[in-house]
Amino acid sequence: MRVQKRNPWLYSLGMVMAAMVLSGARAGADVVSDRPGSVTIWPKVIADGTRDTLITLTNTSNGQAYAHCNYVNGLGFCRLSGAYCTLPSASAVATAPACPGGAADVCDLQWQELDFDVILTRQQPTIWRVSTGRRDDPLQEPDAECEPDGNSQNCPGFFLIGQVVPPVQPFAGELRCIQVAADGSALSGNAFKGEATLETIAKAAVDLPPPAGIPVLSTQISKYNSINIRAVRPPSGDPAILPLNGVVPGTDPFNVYNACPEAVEFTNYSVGAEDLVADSIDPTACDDTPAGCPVTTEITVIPCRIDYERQIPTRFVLNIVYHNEFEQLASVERDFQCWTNFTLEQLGFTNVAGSTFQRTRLNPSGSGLCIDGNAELINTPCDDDADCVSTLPVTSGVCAPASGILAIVEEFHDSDVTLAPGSLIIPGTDAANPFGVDADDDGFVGRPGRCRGVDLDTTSCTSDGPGGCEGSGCVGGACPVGRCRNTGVACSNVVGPACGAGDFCDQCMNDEMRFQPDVVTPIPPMP
Amino acid sequence: MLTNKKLSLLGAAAVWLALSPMAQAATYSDTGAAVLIYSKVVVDGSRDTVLEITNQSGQARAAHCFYINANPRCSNTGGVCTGVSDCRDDTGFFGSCVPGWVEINFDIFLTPFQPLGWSAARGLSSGGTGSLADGKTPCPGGFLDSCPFADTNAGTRIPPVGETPFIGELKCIEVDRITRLPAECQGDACRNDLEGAATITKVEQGQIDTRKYNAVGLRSTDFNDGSNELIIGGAPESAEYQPCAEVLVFNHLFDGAVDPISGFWEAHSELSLVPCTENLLQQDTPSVVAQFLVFNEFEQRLSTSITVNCLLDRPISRIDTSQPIRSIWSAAFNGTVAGQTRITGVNGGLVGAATLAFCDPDGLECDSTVFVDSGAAYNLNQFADRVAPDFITIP
Repeated sequence: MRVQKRNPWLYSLGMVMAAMVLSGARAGADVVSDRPGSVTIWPKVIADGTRDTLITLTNTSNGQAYAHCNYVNGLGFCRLSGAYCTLPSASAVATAPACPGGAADVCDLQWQELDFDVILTRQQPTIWRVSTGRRDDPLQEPDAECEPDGNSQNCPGFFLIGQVVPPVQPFAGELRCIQVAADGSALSGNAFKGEATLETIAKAAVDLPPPAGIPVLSTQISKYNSINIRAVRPPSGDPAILPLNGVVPGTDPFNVYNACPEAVEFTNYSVGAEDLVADSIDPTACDDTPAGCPVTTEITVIPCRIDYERQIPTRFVLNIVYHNEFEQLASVERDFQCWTNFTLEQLGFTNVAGSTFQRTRLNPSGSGLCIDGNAELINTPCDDDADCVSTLPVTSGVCAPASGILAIVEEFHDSDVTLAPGSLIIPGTDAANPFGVDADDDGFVGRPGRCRGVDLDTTSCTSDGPGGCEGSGCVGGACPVGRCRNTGVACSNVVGPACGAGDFCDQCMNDEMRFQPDVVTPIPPMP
Repeated sequence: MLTNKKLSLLGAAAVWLALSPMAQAATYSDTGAAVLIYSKVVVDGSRDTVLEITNQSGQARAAHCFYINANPRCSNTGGVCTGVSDCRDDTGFFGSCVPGWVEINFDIFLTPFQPLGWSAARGLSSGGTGSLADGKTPCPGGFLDSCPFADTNAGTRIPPVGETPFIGELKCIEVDRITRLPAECQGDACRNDLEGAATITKVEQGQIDTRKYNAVGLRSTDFNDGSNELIIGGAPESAEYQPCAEVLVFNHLFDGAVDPISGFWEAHSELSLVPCTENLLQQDTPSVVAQFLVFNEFEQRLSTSITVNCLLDRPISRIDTSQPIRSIWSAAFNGTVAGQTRITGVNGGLVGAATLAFCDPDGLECDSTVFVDSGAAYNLNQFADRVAPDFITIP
């Protein structure tokens, strides 16, 4: 039986007009992977000799667009064995350590940043290989094929910036591109989208039977969409600091860039589980026991907060919870820094119940993080500003909310031919973007901020003004009086006084990206 | 046939069109939703699709799902076809190969936070070991159930897809457990608890190749009247789900472009599109004109159009021609490696997904017997909201 809807024409018209005012109230001001944004993030970029990455970046706007991009190499080195590692030794369990050489073989993680610019004409797509970068050669034949150029590559197409430099290798880390104006200041154009294609480099098949001379045997690729942060307006205080604070759409003039999600989650094969369909498609593919066709899941996580200007690798805490199909639950909490890549086995997860799938949720955890104050306290946990100073005045300490996180998940599907000793065959791979979660069920996926100057655990805020704050630390439903970021002087964005030029008032704080705006200067084409 | 209700909504939408600025698109492939659209489900001799659906919520949830079999069929023999050449009957005459559209529906009951996954070829039933690996629901109910007492998948039975080969779509709608219709709701009571993904899995020469994409989600608005007609976008006072995108943005490598990493493989992409509007009650084959704008790295623009009947799933260089080398998606024609295609549904919304495959350059369209092709699936981006509403009508 159909239910009669409220459909008189005039009523509809009135509601349309009213709704225009309220439009988007539950749409969410989110960080997304399926819409263009003003900050474009590829959390998993590899160029380590066994895998390489193709980056595609597209200007979806009808005007020329500029991007200031930063690679961050998060790959570490094991102190004794010299092997590469991607997570802190203390976060891995003994049965699946970060480094192979025992307890003393500690993983020393690095944080190496490299920046460059890209200029794209309207609607222009572009592509580059991470290990080689790309150079412009206006004389190159338009044959849809990139040509080697020393250690770099030339590809057909406009490449107005002249060059994308390759990062130091081996490289395993992230790439972020910020949309900027020609003068280097951040721009809220929401013009960019991108993808990353992770390719396992095929091994030479030198010992294989004919056809002889075949240079490669097979490859495997995974592809995911860049994660894009949409902007409402450019930063108005310090042009080097991009606040990721938009949770409730239409909160003006508070919202600048959208906030990271409260949590992210994805469904993946459980530890040790076998591919669900490979055996039924080809019964000979998974014959060997006990291995069968196991699937391994790799999770790459980065903090939303980043400080390129002062080169501070952000510390973040991750609470990882999974539910399998039997509704059984397990969780761990681990500390990380800057960039990490791990398997569930490395964190100690097991699969006693024999489940096939699990829903894995990654919750950013911890209370706060010192971003200003005494040098030795920067990047340490805090609850309020006083925790960030030991000798300096309390007003010079800044305790920011713990960082939000973003992630990419990749699965590796083995079979008998890939598990055979000495096999050159590569496991099947696929990557996916996780789902943002409205963990507190408030109707918004974006992660609320915390009020500056009070115990961070006592507030949760989505704006500076009345109605924007919840918790015992709020005053009249709003964040208490804030502090100017640079001077530490008391201030308010609602009633004043404001801060001086180049400074801004911290009240409701959230994640931030700090970079060095600089004029975009094209490199002349190669002679 | 337009009902009074639809006319009223279209009128209101027209006002909205005149007054509203372009907003961001509101379908999602990266957050929980109330309607999930898996735009490509494939089963054939070497491929199967693993379908996942997960409950984000701490409460039990129900989904009413629809497999839509889009296999084209011969007008004379009724057999599955890919072209007229497949439609020769016993007398030597050829029939035509016409688009097909057959729908079956079923229910899924999810316990709190539960992930479920199943093979499209085998489905999911109850009983036995209660193991997803064996195609059984994990919490069938009863004394032998290893799940918490009150939580059960009882009532869940997912049929295998209707035939092999199969190409089609899966749609799942969050519903009331009793009525099998969307729950009547206002405000925060309107839920967005489902997330899903599909992994197209191929096994060839013992090697597994997987292509995974997220299901596209339609998020609910603050209102649902609980009827069998789901209103997607349009006038905000009556929209039950957020609108489909006005434009889909599809980044790709041009077909035949050489992989810049290996310098060997050739890129081949496939695009899958389904209409936002579907009448599953009257089994009307939906038809939407998709308009494509293709940009290369020289900012040169080309365009073409095609009618999407039920489901479009084909290599991009066969959308506009039967001779891929002449296509506007051909690398040889465009001259650059990367391209952007903007897709607009002219008389209705579209959702979709894409795949990229790296293939042996000596093989004809990825059918090499020497090398195993490698592929990956990914979601499309989108731009702006559709102003006119789309409708999903369910039995």
